Amino acid sequence: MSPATAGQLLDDLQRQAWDLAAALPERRHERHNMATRHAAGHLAGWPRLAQMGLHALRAVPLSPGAHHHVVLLIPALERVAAHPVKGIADPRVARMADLLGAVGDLLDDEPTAFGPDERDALAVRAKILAGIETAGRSTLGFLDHAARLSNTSWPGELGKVVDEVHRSLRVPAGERQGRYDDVAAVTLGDPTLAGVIARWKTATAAALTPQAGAASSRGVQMAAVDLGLLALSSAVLVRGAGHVGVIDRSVGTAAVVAFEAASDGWGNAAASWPSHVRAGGRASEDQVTASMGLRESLNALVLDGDNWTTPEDIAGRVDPLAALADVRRGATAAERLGYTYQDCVSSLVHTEALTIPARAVQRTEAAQPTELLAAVQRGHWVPLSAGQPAATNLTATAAAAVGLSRDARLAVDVTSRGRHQLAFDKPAPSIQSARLTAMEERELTARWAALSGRDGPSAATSHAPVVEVVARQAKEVNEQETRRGATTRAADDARHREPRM
Amino acid sequence: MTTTEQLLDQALGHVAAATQAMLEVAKNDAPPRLMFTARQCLDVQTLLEDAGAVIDIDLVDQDGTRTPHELLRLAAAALDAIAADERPVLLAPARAELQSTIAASSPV
Repeated sequence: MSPATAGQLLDDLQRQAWDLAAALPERRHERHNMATRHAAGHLAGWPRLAQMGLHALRAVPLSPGAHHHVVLLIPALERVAAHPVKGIADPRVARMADLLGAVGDLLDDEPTAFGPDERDALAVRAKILAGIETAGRSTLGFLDHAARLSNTSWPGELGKVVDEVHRSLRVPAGERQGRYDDVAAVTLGDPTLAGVIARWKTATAAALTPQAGAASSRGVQMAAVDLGLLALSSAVLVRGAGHVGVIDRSVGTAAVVAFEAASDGWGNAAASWPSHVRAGGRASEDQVTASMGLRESLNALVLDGDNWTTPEDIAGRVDPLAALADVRRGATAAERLGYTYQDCVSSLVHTEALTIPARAVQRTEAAQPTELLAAVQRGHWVPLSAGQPAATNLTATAAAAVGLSRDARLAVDVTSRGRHQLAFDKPAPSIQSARLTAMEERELTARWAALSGRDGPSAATSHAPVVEVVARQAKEVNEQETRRGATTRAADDARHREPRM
Repeated sequence: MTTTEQLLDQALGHVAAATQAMLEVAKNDAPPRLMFTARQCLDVQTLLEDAGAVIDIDLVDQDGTRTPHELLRLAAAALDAIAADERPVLLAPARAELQSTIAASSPV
């Protein structure tokens, strides 16, 4: 069974919030009794709800500069959180607090969001705020009919919370899906792809950051190959998802190209390790085992003998949407691990922890040091200096691969936003697709057709850059939604897309 | 006469050269399995080192005239040349993994 994701927990939060607002009886006396009972249960749950709401909001990885719009909400929630109430909390309010607490825990180690990630961070925060606002409005509704409680400070305090939440809640409905919805507490070693990736990432990160001594060069090279394999396999899975129609084809194509580029980048990084440049001993057992698990898992999913598994066969092995979520989690893990790899290589190079046979040292100065000449004669190994071509190649290929991993993660994150997210003027934030020239686009279209076994885009779109196709499809979706009379709020928000927060 | 140590080192040199060759061509238009096989080669290298092999820069084929598959077969031949009573205890797992890798790298 897959672990709950932040997105699923937040969906549950919305369901609980929806059911909070119970209809009150027509008769005044009955209405008063029921409202008093509900209000008392709500109030008993509010301190913890506010506390967990704060926990979740603080865990959303927005940079400090983007927090100004909740600056008044935070103290309002803190006041409610510090106001203990006797009694038994309403089970739905208590459940909402649990859910917010769990979301806060899941998002706690997400790095600060910048660029396109900021939009997703705002999206996830909007869902948290929506839950808090709904609870506040429901409680205030009961307090209106509960004379005894309405004379307390609660209506004022909750009113402040609701007002501030509402002011902060400016994310249109169509923009409320994003990468943070995928965040889940995946059990290490869980036999799902997500579990295998989580275990591999943990073991590999530990191997790349040893508590003592230098990391094993074999382990570091193994990490680069694994990152390449994961990117290559991700390309196959995304291609399959595009083929069976669960994602927009243009967005899928951009992600496939980005993953393939990342795979090449990691292949180059792995190849930059000559067999005679070494550090540390053998790779750690944990890393080797986790790496083997990753390889077997990917092998079973994307390889069919000597060929890639067809999209239809992949769909028969795994739910395409679940696989896509795993790919996004994998891309996030790969990006972070990539940075760890880069730090590790940089550290090995700059501390001169790598060694090389003296006779393999390349001459970079007119005169070779006498110590080196002596070492050559004795067949010794010497530290690899940071200026040697082998060393600079290691750091350069690591930096390039990390950049390509980030591009791939950004490109595949677009698939987490559903079709609604395309309903905006700005193109999908794929650096890769944004760089496409017309010629590259034609090649890409041809490649897509070859890979997917389908025709390329229609004649009307075949020569347009991917980003334009995406934007045009996005507008069409938006217009259709508006024509259908999609919620006034969503249409209104789409028209008033002001830069905010 | 070639010693057991030399044969082990030769085998490791061939596998290292095969790994490098695979990684250098493991691009998107390469056969799907190639990067998986390159990763498997790293396991073979580790197992050979566990069996006592040491990398010798002179034994790593760098002229690029042989295919990875041929290099792996040369490695297997080197291991098979070790006398039965001279085989290190940990050689068998390395050879088994090497045979599996040779099969995976087969061009046909």
